[in-house]
Amino acid sequence: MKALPERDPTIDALAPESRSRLATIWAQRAESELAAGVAFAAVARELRELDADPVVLELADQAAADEPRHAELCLRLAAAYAGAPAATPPPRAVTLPEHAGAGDALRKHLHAAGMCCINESIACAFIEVCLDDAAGPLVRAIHREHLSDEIEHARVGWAHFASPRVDAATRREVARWLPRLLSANLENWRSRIAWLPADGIAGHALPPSARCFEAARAAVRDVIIPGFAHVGIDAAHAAAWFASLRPQ
Amino acid sequence: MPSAKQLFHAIVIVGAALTAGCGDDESKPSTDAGMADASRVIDAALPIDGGADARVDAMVIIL
Repeated sequence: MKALPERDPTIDALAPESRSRLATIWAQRAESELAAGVAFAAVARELRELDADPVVLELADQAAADEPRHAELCLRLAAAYAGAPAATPPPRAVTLPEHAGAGDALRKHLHAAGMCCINESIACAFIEVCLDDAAGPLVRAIHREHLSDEIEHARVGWAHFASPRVDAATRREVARWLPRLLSANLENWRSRIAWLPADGIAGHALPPSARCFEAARAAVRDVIIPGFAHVGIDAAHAAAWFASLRPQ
Repeated sequence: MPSAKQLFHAIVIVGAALTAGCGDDESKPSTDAGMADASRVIDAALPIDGGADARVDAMVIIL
């Protein structure tokens, strides 16, 4: 990783109330990144139990190791906005979805689909729009670092489902679950984005929330659903589900 | 901002190529037998529960 800029004049120039809000957002984001690291470690363990391709396992292990580093970067931003050191948040308990009705093996594949193919792909699109709105050197550098890693994290899932180690029966089952996974995870993004300032904070990687959510929806429509089709998972149900959504 | 096509390439095409050798041509169909079989299946999707109940299927996110 390149050395980060020591100072960011756009942060220095920001109004105190906006700095305080951004410090809170980035401290919260650090907590989420730590939770994502715990979840990724669990997904990596499950992929190993599924005898996933060694390339997939290597990527998944790296992803689990990346997230705590992301949390540190988030705390660096929180501290820059607060003008004071930011405390490392306590670890949060993380439980992976039960996916009631799925057998043990299928549940592990669904975790990889939800965590990697869906959420990390949406994360890439979300960080892209945030980066597009980032003006300052520190804010931009940290978002570039995050985006670079999130691309790798999404690849864990796409590499896994492209692998011949995922059999035809599993592909059929994953296809049936896709609308449910997409619906649940997109709703999760919607509710988290709704927590952000609706109008955003211009220049600080915080676009208006409507733009953030549209990026998440577009990722589902243009990347994730076609992505499942690309790796040999029937995406017809997923496409029908998306078409049934109300326009935002 | 990168286009959806660029993002699709960066994560799906490149990611899939790591294990399946799909290469750079996104229109090229997979030759894996399991994939070909799956593409023919017409199966009932699982019902989606409304509201908060649906979120039990959601994974951790970074935001």
